Amino acid sequence: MPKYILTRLGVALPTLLIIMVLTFLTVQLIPGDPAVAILGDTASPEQLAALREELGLNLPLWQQFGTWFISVIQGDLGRSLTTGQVVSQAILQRSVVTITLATAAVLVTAAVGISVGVWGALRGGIVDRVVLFTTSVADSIPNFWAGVVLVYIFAVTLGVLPANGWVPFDVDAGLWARSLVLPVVALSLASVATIARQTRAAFSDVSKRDFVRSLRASGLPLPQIIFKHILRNAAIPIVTVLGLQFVLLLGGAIVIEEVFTLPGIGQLAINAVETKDVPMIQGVVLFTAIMVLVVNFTLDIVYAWLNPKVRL
Amino acid sequence: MSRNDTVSIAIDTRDVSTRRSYFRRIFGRWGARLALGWILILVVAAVFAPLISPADPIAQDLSDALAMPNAQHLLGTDQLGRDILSRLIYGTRETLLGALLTVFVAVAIGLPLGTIAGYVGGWFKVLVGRFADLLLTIPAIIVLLAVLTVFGNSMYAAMASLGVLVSAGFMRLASASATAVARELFVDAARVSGVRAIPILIRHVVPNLIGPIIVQTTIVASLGLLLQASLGFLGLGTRPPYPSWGQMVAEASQQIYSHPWLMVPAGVTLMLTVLSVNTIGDSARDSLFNGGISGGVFRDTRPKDIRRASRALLAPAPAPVVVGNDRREPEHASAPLLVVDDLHVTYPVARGTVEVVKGVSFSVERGKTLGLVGESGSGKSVSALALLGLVPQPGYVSAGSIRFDGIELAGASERTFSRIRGRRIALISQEPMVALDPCYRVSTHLREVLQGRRGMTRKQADARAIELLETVEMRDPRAVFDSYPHQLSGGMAQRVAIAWALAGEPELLIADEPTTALDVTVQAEVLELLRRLGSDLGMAILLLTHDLGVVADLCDDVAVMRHGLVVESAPVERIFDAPQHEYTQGLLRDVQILHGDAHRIEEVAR
Repeated sequence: MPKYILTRLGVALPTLLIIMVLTFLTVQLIPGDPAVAILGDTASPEQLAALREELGLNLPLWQQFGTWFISVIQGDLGRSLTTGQVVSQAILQRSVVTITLATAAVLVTAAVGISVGVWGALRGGIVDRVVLFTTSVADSIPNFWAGVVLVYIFAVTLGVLPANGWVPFDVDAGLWARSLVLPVVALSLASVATIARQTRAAFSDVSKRDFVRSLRASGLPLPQIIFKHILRNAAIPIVTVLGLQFVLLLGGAIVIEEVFTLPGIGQLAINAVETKDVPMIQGVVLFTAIMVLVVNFTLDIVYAWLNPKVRL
Repeated sequence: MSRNDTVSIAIDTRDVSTRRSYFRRIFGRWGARLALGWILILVVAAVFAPLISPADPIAQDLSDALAMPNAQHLLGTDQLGRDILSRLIYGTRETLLGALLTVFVAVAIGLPLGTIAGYVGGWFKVLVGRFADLLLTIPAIIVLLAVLTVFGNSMYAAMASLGVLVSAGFMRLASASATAVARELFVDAARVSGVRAIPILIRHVVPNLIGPIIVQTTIVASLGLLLQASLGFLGLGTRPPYPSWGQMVAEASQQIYSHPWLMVPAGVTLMLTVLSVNTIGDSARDSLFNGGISGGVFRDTRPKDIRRASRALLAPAPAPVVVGNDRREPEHASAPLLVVDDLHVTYPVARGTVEVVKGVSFSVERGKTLGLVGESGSGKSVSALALLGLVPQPGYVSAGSIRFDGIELAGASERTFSRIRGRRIALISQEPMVALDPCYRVSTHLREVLQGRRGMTRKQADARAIELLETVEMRDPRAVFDSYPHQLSGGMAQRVAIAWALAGEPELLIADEPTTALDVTVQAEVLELLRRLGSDLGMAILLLTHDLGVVADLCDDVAVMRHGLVVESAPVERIFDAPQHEYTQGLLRDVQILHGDAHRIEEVAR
């Protein structure tokens, strides 16, 4: 197992390095003079010179990268071009909301998706058909639309949950939880559907394998066969899909934050697009990439724990 | 979704008719047809938008703002009094173009790069694979935000970038297929004849992949639709006042307190579109894997009348019916352990039913070995599995009687079988490598039976498990005990499977082609082991095989099966000395031809 973990780290670190290089190159990709593109045609030569200095555009490319790389590993992503905020601080401050949202959504996705999938696979008949139909509809609902409709139902009409806003956990845990419900439901709806369908397929598939017949022939009670043996085998492909879903959910969180006006990194990113705030968007890209790598690394370990064949 | 459709091959290569029938299968379902219809409506709407729009999509009329649907505005008006239907119709243009651009870029990058990678192989293939992984590491929407930051607010730049990101899926498909195709001879032939290899490859790779490519295209298109709408919702991409669906939802969400209706038109249109693309994708996938997956994996799938029929009805007199419980009646010690009488097993098919076992009768004496001989498809496996109530779904025992030591098993309840399985009748199957759960060690398998079925403590169970592994002549029982199935060889796995079957101390062991999947040298060892166990433990064995040599070695009695019927049954000597049925005679001739050399050597030695 330790060897396996090292191997996975050996894969994750170069990936991070490549992402850093690509992130760095975003400035270079700006068509024309980046300083002009960012500040616009009306900028004075002094302003342009100052920005070139700020972004280090006067240096040769490799030197630019060297300087940038060293400061990034030290946690320095520069300052926002529009607000002057320190990028790393701004992101860290707001990351709590995004991380909470994405993590809660992935947990809901796993719990509900797997349960519904197993239920459909086991029951068959009408239950199975309802599960199939509902999940394919749910899979097609855009998360932001679901968010607004949920607000209309539960906040506007029923008035049972807040329509927007965020209460930090340390301020009031109850209100925190209430402020999370609708965003998490809206965000995870499509993922729940995807995982439910995947689980249903994986579960049915494993159920038809030879060892299930041997287990039944050995007289093991059906619940034990289902929950101990089939589910564990079916979980192996599901973990992979769950990793891909996390990437989607993290992206979806950016949109959902906008729906529920939650103070996450989504607003930073959207402002950055509108103001061409390159250091900020670089910071957001790096942050999300690291999040995904961390989650994938964790899932790799879960995967190895589930599947003895990949352990070394 | 007919089940007997399994013969058709979905991913055939050069056969045009097969490919055409693949498309016909995709759109054979009404869901996929409706979906295609909806997409066609959208295409027409996009192309002829100026002709069919009832109004100018950007003409404001503040005096008529936020109107509900009426004769003039079929879907009402928005906060600026613009006609919603017209905005939806014009919004279709960008939606479809965006999705199309994403698909085009993804295919244009993914297929050639993947094909070359699969063909060249080596480090280049690894590199492309890594690149594909990398593309999936960052959430697409974040990358798109970065692209929009750098390239200005251009929807097409964003959608093309998305195409690059999602090209990974096509890359993988093409790479895998090209690897396979490159190994085939005709590519060499093509190269020799002086044609350039890559165009040849693409021409051979793409038809191979027509199904997966359709599936992947729908995935990419639906992602493109959703991301484009998300960007529109965030106020990016298309600039107002020009309409996009996502932007319309964003504007509607501003009016949610007073005019919830506004959420409906754009939202439902978007949903229906994504749903349509997904439905076509699902149908394409199901057609690829023949009919899709059916749920209800452990359900009782027998027809109602069979389920309702009492055991007495299934098993006509004179079989004494055991009512209510399984307490067995005292039987004569001389009575056979197992009597199968006129057993029928039926499978439902598209129209009606098919009998695969058509009235089979045989019996197994206590401590004796019966060989059930027949080719695959003769119904011998299904007959044997019926003894454990494990006839593969959706088949079922439709008539006849299975009496095991006084207990009627034809149509018996799960409760009855739960007492029989493992404890009184055990099974070893044909493929030892897949007969054990790959996620658990050998120890778990044995403990489950010994603790769960025999009520041992964990310590007792472990000790007994080691004993059992010794009984099956395992060289290093401790190591095997702690092994995972994938660490065992075929022969070892079969010995483990035998030990596992013995753990419940059964009176009858069903061995379904126990040596077919093994190496020839190992076959003899395993057969010898079975023979020894049979005589040492006084255990009856029902041996399923197609090999008369195995029968001669092991069996006391023989029943020959063909086409779901027993054509001949007799003691083993009689079968070999005086076979009555033509089919048995044929089987014997085959054996003599196969073993002919050995006979000749014996003759020469004499």
